[in-house]
Amino acid sequence: MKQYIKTKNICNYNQKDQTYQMFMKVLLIMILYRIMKTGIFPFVLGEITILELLLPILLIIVCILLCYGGYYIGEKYLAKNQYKEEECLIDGILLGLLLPIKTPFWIILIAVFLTIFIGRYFYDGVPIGMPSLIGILGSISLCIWLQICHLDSLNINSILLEFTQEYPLNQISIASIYLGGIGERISKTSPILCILAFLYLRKNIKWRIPIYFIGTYLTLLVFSNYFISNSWIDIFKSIGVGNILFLSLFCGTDMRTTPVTNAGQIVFAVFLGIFTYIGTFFFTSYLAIILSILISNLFTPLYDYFGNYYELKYCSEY
Amino acid sequence: MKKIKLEENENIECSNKVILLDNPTYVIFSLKADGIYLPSIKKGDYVYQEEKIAIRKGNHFPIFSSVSGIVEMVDSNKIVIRNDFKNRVREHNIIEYSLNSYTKLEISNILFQLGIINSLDKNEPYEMLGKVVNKTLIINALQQDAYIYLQTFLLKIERKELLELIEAFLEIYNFEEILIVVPKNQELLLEEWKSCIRDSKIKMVEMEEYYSLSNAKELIRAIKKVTYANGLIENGITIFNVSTMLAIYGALKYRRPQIKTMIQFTGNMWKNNCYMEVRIGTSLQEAIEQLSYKRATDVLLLKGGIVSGKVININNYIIDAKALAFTAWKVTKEIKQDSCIRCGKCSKACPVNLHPALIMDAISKKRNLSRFEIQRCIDCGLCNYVCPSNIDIYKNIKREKEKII
Repeated sequence: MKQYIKTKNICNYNQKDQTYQMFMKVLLIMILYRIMKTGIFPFVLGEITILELLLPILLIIVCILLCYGGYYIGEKYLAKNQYKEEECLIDGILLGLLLPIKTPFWIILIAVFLTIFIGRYFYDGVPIGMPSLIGILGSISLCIWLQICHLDSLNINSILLEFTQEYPLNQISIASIYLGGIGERISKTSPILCILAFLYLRKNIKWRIPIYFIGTYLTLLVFSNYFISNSWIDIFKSIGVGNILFLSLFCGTDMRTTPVTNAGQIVFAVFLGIFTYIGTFFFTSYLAIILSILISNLFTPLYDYFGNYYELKYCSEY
Repeated sequence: MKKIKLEENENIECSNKVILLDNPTYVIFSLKADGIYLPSIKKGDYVYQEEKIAIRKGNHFPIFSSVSGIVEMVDSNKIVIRNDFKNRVREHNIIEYSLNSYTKLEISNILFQLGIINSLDKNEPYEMLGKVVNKTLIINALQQDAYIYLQTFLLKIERKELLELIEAFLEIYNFEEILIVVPKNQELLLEEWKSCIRDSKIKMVEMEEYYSLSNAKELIRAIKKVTYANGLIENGITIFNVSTMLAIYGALKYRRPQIKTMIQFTGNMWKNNCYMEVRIGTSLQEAIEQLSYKRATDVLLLKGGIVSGKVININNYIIDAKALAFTAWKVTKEIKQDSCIRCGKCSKACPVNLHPALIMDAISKKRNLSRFEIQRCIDCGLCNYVCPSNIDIYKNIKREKEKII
């Protein structure tokens, strides 16, 4: 029997604004943690300059401002009234977190354009994909294309490496992975912090998606470990490295682009895990999960169709 | 659409004070409330209290005047009677009938002739009690919505009458059991009732209150742990709330129609929350004059509770026998309706596992709705209440459901 809302406790307090506020709080904590760990402490120790300290904050501010700019242009000329200011802020922060810190301005501009105008305004009830990820994937594709065209003068090699190069697991300790701060992206935060964020947000997000995704991904890793004989430590390193927890929590659970039905969410998450696992054979785990989320988003109506059918037929007591 | 924001666990008490509003200046009866009614009186006529003034087209279901006085207006929509404050009735002698002396057929006929009606399109007590198989009678005293305690209150104050009717029903219909469902944490009420019950077939059932328990099927599922595919009547189950039982009692005991009704006034904007006994047909404006708001502005008045209630216009609302509560709430701000963010809160809240977000999407795209089985909707309104985008989901689903049914 489904748990109903108790009469005496019923209240419409869970407004959209509050959900966004909770998201904002969590993201801010993650940014602060990263700045403390790889910014302030090394700066005090004299390992980095003031510019390197301020660069992550600057990147996030630029992304937010550009997203707001795109939002106001979009509202003025497209005016679909589907996109909210709060979502614009979240998009800006996510872009800032997912792009490498030293990303050139023109790549940020392209990422923002793709996020706002393709991810948000092109959206018209059809979940084409998580907006920030569209921006990231679009800018990565552009970088790869420019490299193929041998436009080395644009100095994109270091950025591409950040996207396409996997850190050798045997060279990093499990402690440093789980404490976070490896790599050039702010989103490469501590997986422990991601788990705490999940616990905090669980009532306001589609919690089944990260749980079933990690479950599937971990099962496949353990299964392959049996044949490939990687060590158990490497499995936990694979989970912790490459933004898997961060992306599954903040991008995999995006409300607009993921299924509404419980059964649909579970199928979505299982396929997301399978796609990510397959993707890791061809790309870095970062790219693999971005691609998997975007591919899975495309099938959201199908998952919902199944979820609706299944829940009405097998879960309903009427 | 306006919505009310309540603080979680807001403590809204309702005193046991009953205000009597016995002398309304006018009473008004709608002739199109639940079908088309044909007036049997004309303008200028004198009508007695409890006199039949209209019958429903098709099945002759009656409406009775709740006051005596002159008919001021009759048109196709309403009858207006000016009260002469004399409460004149045709038969002065009040005869008390023995409830045990009735047969099943007699009860059905009396309930029909005296217009004891419970729902919009069915004469439920008449239909239910007219059936041959009667296994279980459930008397529901649970809250129908948040902060509405009317049924429990009536169970407290009308124990003698209710017990008399219950015992008579047990004898006439030979029910296997009669269950009186009361909310948990009402030890005193429970003790009082238990001390009066003599028959082992009459049982008190304590239930933890959840919103949708006012729905018959949900209540059965919670009490008996079974779900019936077909109707409850076919399975020999009859459910009445306490108000209906009292209306039946009045009709059988005195052979008189229901001319008064008890209403609860609650919410966080009345100065004093209370119960009020009013004559059917009284304008809400007149009833509210007896009370007062804490503040005149930013008040939202609902017929019913905070979840399933409907916003009403105080100026032209007439109290009928179906009105159980009027709630007044402080409006924090006018909340704008946003686009759906597909958060799934509506699906989570829906007691019958529907997916309102998907249904709304299909409605907006004019797709076929058959796969969503919207006929299952039990009109609880929870989807509306939990929606963080303030979308009026229930209104749309109800409209589509009516098209199908």
